Amino acid sequence: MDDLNNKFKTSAENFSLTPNATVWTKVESAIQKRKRRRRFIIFFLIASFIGGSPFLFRKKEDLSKNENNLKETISSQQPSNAIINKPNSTDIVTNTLVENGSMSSQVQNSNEERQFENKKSNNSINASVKSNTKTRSSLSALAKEPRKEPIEPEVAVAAIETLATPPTQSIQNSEEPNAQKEIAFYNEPIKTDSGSEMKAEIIQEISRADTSQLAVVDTTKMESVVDKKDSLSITAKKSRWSISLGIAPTISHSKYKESGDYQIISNYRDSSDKNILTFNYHLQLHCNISKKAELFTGIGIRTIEQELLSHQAVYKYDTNYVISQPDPVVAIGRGYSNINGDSTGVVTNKISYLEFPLGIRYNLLPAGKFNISIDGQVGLNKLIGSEGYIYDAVNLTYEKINSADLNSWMYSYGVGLSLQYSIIRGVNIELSPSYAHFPNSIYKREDPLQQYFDQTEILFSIRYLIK
Amino acid sequence: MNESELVKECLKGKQDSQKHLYELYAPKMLGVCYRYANSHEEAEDFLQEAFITIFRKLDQWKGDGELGAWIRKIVVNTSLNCIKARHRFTDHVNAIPIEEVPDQTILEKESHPDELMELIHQLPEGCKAVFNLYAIEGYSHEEIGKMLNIKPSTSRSQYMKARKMLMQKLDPALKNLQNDESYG
Repeated sequence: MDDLNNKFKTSAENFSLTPNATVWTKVESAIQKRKRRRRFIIFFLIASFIGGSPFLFRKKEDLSKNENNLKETISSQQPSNAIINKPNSTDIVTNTLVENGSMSSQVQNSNEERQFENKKSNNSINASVKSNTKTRSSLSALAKEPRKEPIEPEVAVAAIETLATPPTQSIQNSEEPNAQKEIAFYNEPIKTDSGSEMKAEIIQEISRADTSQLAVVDTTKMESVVDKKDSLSITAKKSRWSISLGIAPTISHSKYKESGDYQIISNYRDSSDKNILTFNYHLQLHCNISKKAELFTGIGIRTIEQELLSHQAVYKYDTNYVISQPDPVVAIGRGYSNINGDSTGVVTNKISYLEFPLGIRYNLLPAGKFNISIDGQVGLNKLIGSEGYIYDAVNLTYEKINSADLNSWMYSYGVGLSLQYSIIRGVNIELSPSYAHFPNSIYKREDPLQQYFDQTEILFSIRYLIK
Repeated sequence: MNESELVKECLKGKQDSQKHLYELYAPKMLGVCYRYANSHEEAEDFLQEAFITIFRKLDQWKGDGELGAWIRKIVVNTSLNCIKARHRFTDHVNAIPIEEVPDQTILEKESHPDELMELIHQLPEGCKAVFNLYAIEGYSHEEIGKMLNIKPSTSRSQYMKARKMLMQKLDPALKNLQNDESYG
């Protein structure tokens, strides 16, 4: 038997045939094509970087240039509806306490309070919040500095007493020639004679809060990034690299947290902020690193969009002075303002990020025409656009959101599932639901509330397997 | 230029070096492909696919072994993959009675290499691949079973079937060869 095998083996060793010249032509063509594809990938990566660089290195907007927008009061559009309720001292103190976390600021703010009241007494304040087309009077001189003085116990006690003291001063008709039109303060003055009445008033106020009348609060949107992608490389086409492009209907979810030593009693924002369906876009490059695993990266755009009712309220107490909710409650109330006069409007805040994801995907069915995979990813998200309003807790105004108010970079992480089907050789369609969490607050500053978000999206994408 | 230098030049993308490498190994490798293919054209298709793979993976050749052996392995694997892609393999074994025919007279005769390769080429698809892998490439039946997704026992059966068929064909082939020589 071995002799026969050896005979054939020896013959095979010496056996050769002359290939047709077209074979080399085809081989050469394939090699060149591969080179071109490699160049294309390099070009794609460079183009992605260059394309994204304007966003990455965009200079922050010139504050002076945007001063009018920064401190924006609302111009009068509906004077008849804009009857301003002057905030009473309780409101003022309350806001002062909450915003600055400093009881001592109460005293320092007395002059500001008067100014504020005078502004309010200027009758109507209608907020035209329609983005860029409204008339706005600028609030140029309202630059503020957070007060950082320690809270003096005596001052705190005085302030709490003040809270329970009914307002005595009416500024309904007080007018000041130079008073600027200011945001209407929605909350009715709370007039109580005691702490318990105060509590009752607050509760009433909360229950009375009609969603059609609320004041605007800063908002934001967020985005999430998710990426997913791919495979089927074994079955459909043996490819190491692939590229995918997709669109993802996305829902964002927001959460609010208060920094500092406050206990929130009631936060209307959690229920009244309304997230809007947005669309994220993902362009990704995938590389198989093994039969079942692949890495992916790319570039994408994530958007968060929120619709805010015109009134928001947060009630809380300062845990520096009470470690649990006191009874009767001496609550520090924060009433957010109405920014559009009649208190019935909504504002839409929209924030966009340029996403740079990096993830790994594990293919559960790599050998089939149909594949299921799971993936995990992290992402860097660069702020590239923001529209809407943010509440200035120091000046009690609403400002147009500026990029300086928001964190420029957000990181994210998430998980996803992907269903892939090879429709033709080298082309897959994919359906990839995923979840991404953004652990940082979108706001740079801690006041008003810190806002966190996450996103759930369903990515519809098509992937081309590069041979 | 030795093999390592030639490979380095190829990796740099020099087309003349790539062509040189191809011309160096293509004839023999086409012979390998021919043993697995059903036709000369199909063998050239296998060769083309194999050399595309070779140039794509050339950076994986470490230089610690013979380049020809490395290329040959890729050629064999590519040929098998091409055949498998066409779903020509089954695990079905034809119950052909296997008889050993130790005909020493046949084995002692001189036969033309082309004639022998043609005999292999004419074998049915399944046993052709098994015979090539076992008798010429030196793989075990277990290895062949994994490569072709068949049972080792199937590989043995196919090998014996191929061997029997070759034995039957070998004698007339030699006769024809001798006749050609006598007329020449």
